[in-house]
Amino acid sequence: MAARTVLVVEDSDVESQMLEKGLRSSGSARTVVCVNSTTAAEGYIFAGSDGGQGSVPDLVVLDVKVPPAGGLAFLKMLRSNERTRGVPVLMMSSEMRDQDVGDLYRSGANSFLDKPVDGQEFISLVTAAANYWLTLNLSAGQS
Amino acid sequence: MSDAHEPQSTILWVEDNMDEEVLVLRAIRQASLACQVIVAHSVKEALDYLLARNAFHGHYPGIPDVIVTNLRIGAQSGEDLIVEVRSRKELRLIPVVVLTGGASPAKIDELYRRGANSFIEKPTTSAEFSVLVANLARYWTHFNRSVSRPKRTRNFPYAL
Repeated sequence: MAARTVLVVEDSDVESQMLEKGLRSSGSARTVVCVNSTTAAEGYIFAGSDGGQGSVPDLVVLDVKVPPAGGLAFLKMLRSNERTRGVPVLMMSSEMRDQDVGDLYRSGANSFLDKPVDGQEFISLVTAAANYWLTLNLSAGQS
Repeated sequence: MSDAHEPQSTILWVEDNMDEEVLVLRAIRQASLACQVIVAHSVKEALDYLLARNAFHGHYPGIPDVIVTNLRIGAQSGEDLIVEVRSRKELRLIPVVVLTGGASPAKIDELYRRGANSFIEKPTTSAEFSVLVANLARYWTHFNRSVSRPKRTRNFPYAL
């Protein structure tokens, strides 16, 4: 299996650690990169820390409330760029109204998950989601 | 086990091959998922269901949690269904998964451009197909939250 890179965009350290743990225990994510802002995520994908072309991950796990731009604005940016248009984006939040979930789908989110309150449950859900998006799903531009 | 306070999940499965229909229904039953599967055998039948018209007039069962469609359904294509669903205000937010065999990378790319949420390559053996169907159904009815239903309660622990 090809190396699978997941970019986690989450500002809470605790949740970021649980996301990383869940992704790693799935066995389908080879590399997990965690950033705590949309600015850093943009830098990772488009600029690259080495000043190069940046790197497009195989999956983006995106918190809806991540600063400074917020998950929805970052999602729209990914969908408007030819390089990132086809990257699966899995969005997560702990409190979302139905109409706000609708905005995510309307803007091109592939999936939305409510964050469980319980830590073990959170990790287990992320593991299941990683298995779906990294081993079952085929994304655009992936042969 | 289904929660008495939670409406049952629904999958609209669009497939015209009878053998696969049997496999899908059996796989979901054996996985003990609390979800009902409505099988539509054509794009027209799927739209009749979604829009509660013709055979489904007066029997509106509600917006499904997810639509799973094959790409080739008789003379029509799952792509036609995606276009129809995405062009209608009352249907456009339903997640659509394409489950098919032998699609080219260009076709997969086009399906996402049309608004597919997920694309899955159909496995070649029926055993693999059954496992896949159960995992796919579990993800979209127990893990994913769509707009058609309130925040869900999940059955922990999870496995996929």
